[in-house]
Amino acid sequence: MANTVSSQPDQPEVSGAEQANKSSSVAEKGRPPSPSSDTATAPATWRVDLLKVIPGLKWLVKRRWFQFAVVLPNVLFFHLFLIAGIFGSPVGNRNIIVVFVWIFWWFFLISILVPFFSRSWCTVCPFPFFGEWFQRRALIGVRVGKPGVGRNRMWGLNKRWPKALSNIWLQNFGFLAMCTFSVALVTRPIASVIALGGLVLLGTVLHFIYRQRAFCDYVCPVSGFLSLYSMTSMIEVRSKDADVCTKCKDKSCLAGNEQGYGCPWMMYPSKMDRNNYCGFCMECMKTCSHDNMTVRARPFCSDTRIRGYDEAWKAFIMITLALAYSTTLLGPWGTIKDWANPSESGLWGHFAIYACSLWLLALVVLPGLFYCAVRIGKWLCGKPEAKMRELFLGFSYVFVPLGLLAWIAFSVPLMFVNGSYIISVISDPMGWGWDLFGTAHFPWTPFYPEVVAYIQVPLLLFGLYYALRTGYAFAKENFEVPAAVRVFAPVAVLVTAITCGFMRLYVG
Amino acid sequence: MLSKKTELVAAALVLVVLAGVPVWVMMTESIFASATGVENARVMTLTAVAKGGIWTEEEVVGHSYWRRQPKPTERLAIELGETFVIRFKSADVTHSFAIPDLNVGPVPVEPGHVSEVWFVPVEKAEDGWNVHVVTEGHVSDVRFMPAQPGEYLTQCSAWCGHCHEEMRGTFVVLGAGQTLEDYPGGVLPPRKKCPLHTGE
Repeated sequence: MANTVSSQPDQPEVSGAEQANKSSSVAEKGRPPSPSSDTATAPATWRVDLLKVIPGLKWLVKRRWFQFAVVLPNVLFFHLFLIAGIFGSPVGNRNIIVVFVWIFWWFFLISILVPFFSRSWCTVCPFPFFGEWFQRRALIGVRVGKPGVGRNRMWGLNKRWPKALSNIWLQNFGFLAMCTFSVALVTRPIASVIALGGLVLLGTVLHFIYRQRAFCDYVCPVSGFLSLYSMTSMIEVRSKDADVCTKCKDKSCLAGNEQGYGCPWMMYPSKMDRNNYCGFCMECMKTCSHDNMTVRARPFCSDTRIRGYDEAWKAFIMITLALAYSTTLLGPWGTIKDWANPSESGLWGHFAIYACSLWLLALVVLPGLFYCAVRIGKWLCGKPEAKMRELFLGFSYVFVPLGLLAWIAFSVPLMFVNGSYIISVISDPMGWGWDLFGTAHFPWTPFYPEVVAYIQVPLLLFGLYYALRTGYAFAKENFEVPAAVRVFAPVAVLVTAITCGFMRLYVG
Repeated sequence: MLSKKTELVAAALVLVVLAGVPVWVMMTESIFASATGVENARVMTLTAVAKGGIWTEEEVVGHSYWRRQPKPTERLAIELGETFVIRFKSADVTHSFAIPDLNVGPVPVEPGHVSEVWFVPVEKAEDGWNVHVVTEGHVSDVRFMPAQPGEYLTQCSAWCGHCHEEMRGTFVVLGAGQTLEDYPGGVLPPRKKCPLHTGE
């Protein structure tokens, strides 16, 4: 039994190794490995084993109660936020759901968690909490047996996620749709309740139907951009020694055992070479019978391979949204703001123009410009045999560091200018006139707004530097030096122009 | 590796969180809502809503603000010798409450803040009231309001949007033995820009 897993109740049992091989392809969502994926697998730069150097961390992540202990406080706060959004003040800056989610959480997520701690948000995320509880019928412990997934006993229909949707396109469209209504989301508490509460409901229902964290892997719009930007993150979960995994027969990290669940994200942890689809749940730390999984620190932008058009389009969408938000929420153009906010202005016709422009820009115009740049680069380098798909996907990574830093640059004024709302809503989360800690009447006080631009510009330049560096590295991996410069030049011009566009918006 | 005892404790913790948060919210609200500094007073809560330009006694909260227009409260009344407290809230933007002819207000009405007006009778009830304006928990203004029976216009005195000039009502000072029926209205001009849509 130890070496046997049942992948689905109605399917014959298969060996752990077979399951591992199958799931490996599932984990990469049907994408072919990129031409340089081998080089991406072997870390060429420094790594620090955090479980070794941080006392007590290994002990902590191996506890069964670890994830429950970090999720429960988040469930508490999220519950309060939803209650505040429904029954609290309809005024955004007086309601904790808007102030905490769209100012504090967003800034903390995009500026701290993602670049430094990868998808650790997924470790504490409350969205799948109830669905996963139902699937496991356990909050802390592990059940083994059938019916289930791998060796773990699981409830629900345990259906496989449709293969055609085994990518992040749903997340791309979901996030774009959500962001189209961004002005309502960041000003109307009830809009935030509908969006975030809806995700909890959807997540719970999908956990009833589909196995493990299909919701997180393929549907959750937050998960979509976390997957993309976690590639830049400075930590990773990886196996310590690939040989140990190769020789391992029980593949418990994938199939589960009495110590823990098989990877809920349907990854094969021992073969993982990118952060994208690892939710940092730490189950593989518990299940690995060889103690071969660890958490490592690493340089910024260590995963550099985009492996599908869905991921590439996610990068286009994200940078377009950063640009659009910077224009509508931070810019001086009241007309565009009115168009983006029909619930206030009532200009639904203009909103339709705004929404269509946003979608067109994200899905067609920017990808089109990028395609032209890649095409011109291919023509300039004089290598007609080079494959457009590989060049397109390879170079599309430049939008990952630039996009992340553009989002951080956009979020800085949110915190600096509107951060003081956090101080007042802590004392009055519902906006009902409470004063729990004596800070309810703290006035709106922008915090050094005059230095914001001096922070934004270096952030953008840092993003541009990594965009150029990783793009050029990709070019050099595939071409000799003169050709590498030529093939990358148009893309470099494009990302530099986009960076200049952001700077124009931020500093004029 | 599953301990029923551990699971029960964990499930109990989840239930405590789910039930505890709303209970805590209600308990805290009951503490703050009853924290007015006047004893034996009739307390009314009025919420200002810019959309439609109304004052209402209904709770205007996240889920209801966009769904429907609350029922407006267009008439307030006070009897001789009565201690009356109006708690003002705003559902959206900054408003201001005033009864110009009685020298009451302006009272700042801001989202997230509760302003109060205390009508505290002076020693002889028939003499009138001392009107305390309480903002941010402190008495910021005290004025005398004589007991002059009649119906007086109330208004929002801070420009609050498209329907600002419709944001009016009346304040009736009832003389000895009088009821509201003694005041047939007519002080309040009809609405022009923002008709009411209460769904009734």
